[in-house]
Amino acid sequence: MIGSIALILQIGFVPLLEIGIWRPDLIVLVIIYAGFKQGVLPGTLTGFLLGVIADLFGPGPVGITAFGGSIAGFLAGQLRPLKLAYNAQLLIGIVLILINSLIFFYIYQLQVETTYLYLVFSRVFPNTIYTFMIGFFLSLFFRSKLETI
Amino acid sequence: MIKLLNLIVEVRDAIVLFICILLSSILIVTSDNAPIGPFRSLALNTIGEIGGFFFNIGSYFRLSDRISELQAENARISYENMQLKDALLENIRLRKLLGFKESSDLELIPAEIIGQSPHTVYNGLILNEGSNRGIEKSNAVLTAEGLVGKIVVVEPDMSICQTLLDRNSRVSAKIQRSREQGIIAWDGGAQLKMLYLTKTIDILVGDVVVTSGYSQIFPENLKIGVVVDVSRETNDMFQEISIQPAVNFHRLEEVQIVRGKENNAQ
Repeated sequence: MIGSIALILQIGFVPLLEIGIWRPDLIVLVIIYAGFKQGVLPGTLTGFLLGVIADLFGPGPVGITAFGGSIAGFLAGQLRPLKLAYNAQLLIGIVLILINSLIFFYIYQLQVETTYLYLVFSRVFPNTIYTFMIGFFLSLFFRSKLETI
Repeated sequence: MIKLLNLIVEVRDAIVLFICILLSSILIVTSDNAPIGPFRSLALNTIGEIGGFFFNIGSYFRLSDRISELQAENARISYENMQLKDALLENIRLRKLLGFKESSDLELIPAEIIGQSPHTVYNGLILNEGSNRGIEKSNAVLTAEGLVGKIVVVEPDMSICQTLLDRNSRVSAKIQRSREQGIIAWDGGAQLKMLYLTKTIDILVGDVVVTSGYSQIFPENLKIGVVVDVSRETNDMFQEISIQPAVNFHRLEEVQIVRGKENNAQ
């Protein structure tokens, strides 16, 4: 349900939040949340399925988002038993967003003529920060739920 | 056997991750041939219904401003149309004198943009028209400002347009002033670049770039953009030419899809 909403917002609303070429990624936020909240298996499968569905809406290859999403969901789920504090979840969250973005753009750069380093500085870091900022803002509304994970 | 089962249960999560990664890799590699058509169709139609609903709500509140804009544009276009008609008549007379075949008009289908692809590197527009209106894969997409891209995915009531701001986009183009030809690609940022123009060719900032007409997809003389930077300080034989797109991709709401393409034959 949350995944569907995130997908609809990502397609219809998030482009309005674009700053230059940088856009937040609500889908990875949902994947990480699913991993934190539900565990490894739901996190991994959420990452895979949401990733595949997201790719269906674009002209690029299907599976590229699912690859990183599966790994991000898996890692988020592995941390669930640790019952991390809210601040720790935020810190881990930005790391997972970064990992997801690094994987996505690594696969992307295999198909283009741009260097990976250029993509890291022009895309990965800015998108990670922007996504984290949106995630932090949204987490303020769900703080009580995050603190009970 | 029991030990094996216990082992599998213990590493179940890792096995699932491995399967997901494997499936993702297979999908990426076989993306063009993967049997994803029905799933894409279902996804697009679902989003189309939802996106169309919200689009209609938003567009209702923008109606007043939009009407004013359109009235002003209508007046300007009417004036230009009168001037162009004169030029067209003269053109027809001259072409007949020279024995040229007449060029034909473009058949345009209007479509609304109800969403964009989730990524910023695979830039696609989700349109609310599809094969039911005669739209086919590779139909050109444009606005009054210029070329937007081409259709890459078609469903009965929806389609996806790959814009010029996509790493896979390649358009045969020419400099309007000098008729020099090259290929338009995306530079990964907010601009386009024109490839394969040697350093001996005279390109000026401000030159208008249009479609060349040699493509089977894009009609001739569709505006692509304007040259904003020319650099000859490259390590190879070609210049680096940056082009500001004519279309503002961040403010698109409606586009026109070209149904079929007639070639201007000589």
